[in-house]
Amino acid sequence: MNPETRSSHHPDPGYAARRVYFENLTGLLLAQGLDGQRVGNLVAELDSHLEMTHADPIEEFGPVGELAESLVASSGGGRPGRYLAAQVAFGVSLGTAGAALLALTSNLPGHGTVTFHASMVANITAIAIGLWAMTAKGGRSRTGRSTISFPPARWFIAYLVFVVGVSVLTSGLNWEIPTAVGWVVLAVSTIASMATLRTAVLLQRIPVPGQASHLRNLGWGWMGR
Amino acid sequence: MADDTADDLQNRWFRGALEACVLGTLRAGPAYGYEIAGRIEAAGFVRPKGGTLYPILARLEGERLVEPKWMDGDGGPSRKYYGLTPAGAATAEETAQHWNRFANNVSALLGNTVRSRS
Repeated sequence: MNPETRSSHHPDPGYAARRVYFENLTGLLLAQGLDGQRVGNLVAELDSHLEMTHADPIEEFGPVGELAESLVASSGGGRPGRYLAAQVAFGVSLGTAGAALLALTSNLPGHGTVTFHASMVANITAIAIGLWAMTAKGGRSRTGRSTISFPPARWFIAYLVFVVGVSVLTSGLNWEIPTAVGWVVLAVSTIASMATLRTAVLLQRIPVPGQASHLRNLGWGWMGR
Repeated sequence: MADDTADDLQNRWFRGALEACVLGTLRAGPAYGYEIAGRIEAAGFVRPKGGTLYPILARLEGERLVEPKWMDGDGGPSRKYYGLTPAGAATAEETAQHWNRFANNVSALLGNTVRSRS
């Protein structure tokens, strides 16, 4: 849901800016390995501070990327990336499911085997990593109120080059597998992608102490937008 | 103009002493972040921004020098109060002694400089 839409019923006019700021902060702290409980505590505390000062979050706390780095460093650093691992695992399993579906739907009647394209798995994984990197970079933006920005065109060119490169490099990694195995791969990878997606969502649903119920279920990075 | 220079100097020194000031304010009793900032401002300094204050509180909490406790506000938002732990109280005391020695040394140096010029 769009934060602006949610904020239309909130009495505080600065709510939308705060919500965007804290969503970004949450994503960055999780991506840098802070556990959900700690993140919930920090965000609720900062929100409580803003309730009292009525200040703009960027004026009071500075750019969200700098604050996240500072808080992670002060908290003794985080464990790298259960959140990142969940997103990459989601990318891999989705890519595998896509490759299996492609293999099965392109199977000619009467053939006992299907061709499983490894390049699809590689490309979907690259998309997952790229989107995560985009979120992290956007969060470190030093200017402007919105901290998630649309990537510049050169990123898409780089992305296309990367996708084509990966496809060429992995073109020899296609396997002939029995159709029945293809169905099993499709089923397992579909279940895995749903499970990893759910894990990624749960990792961003952080417990918020106190009365800050409006901070529950903070958006979760690129997929929440 | 002279006041501006004095404020600027004090603010520069204050940045280096902020962590000590936070510990010092908590010697008066537990307080939440906004209240700590208010106590510092009441002592004659610029009110520290949240982006500076909360990483310091997070570090003190990580070093177990302060202990946090969430309490409901009076009709307002919940507040996270920080109180000094025994280790924090000892560190605050030690910091006060170090600071006195430091301030005395600086004063002595500045006093000598003034005398040698006059």
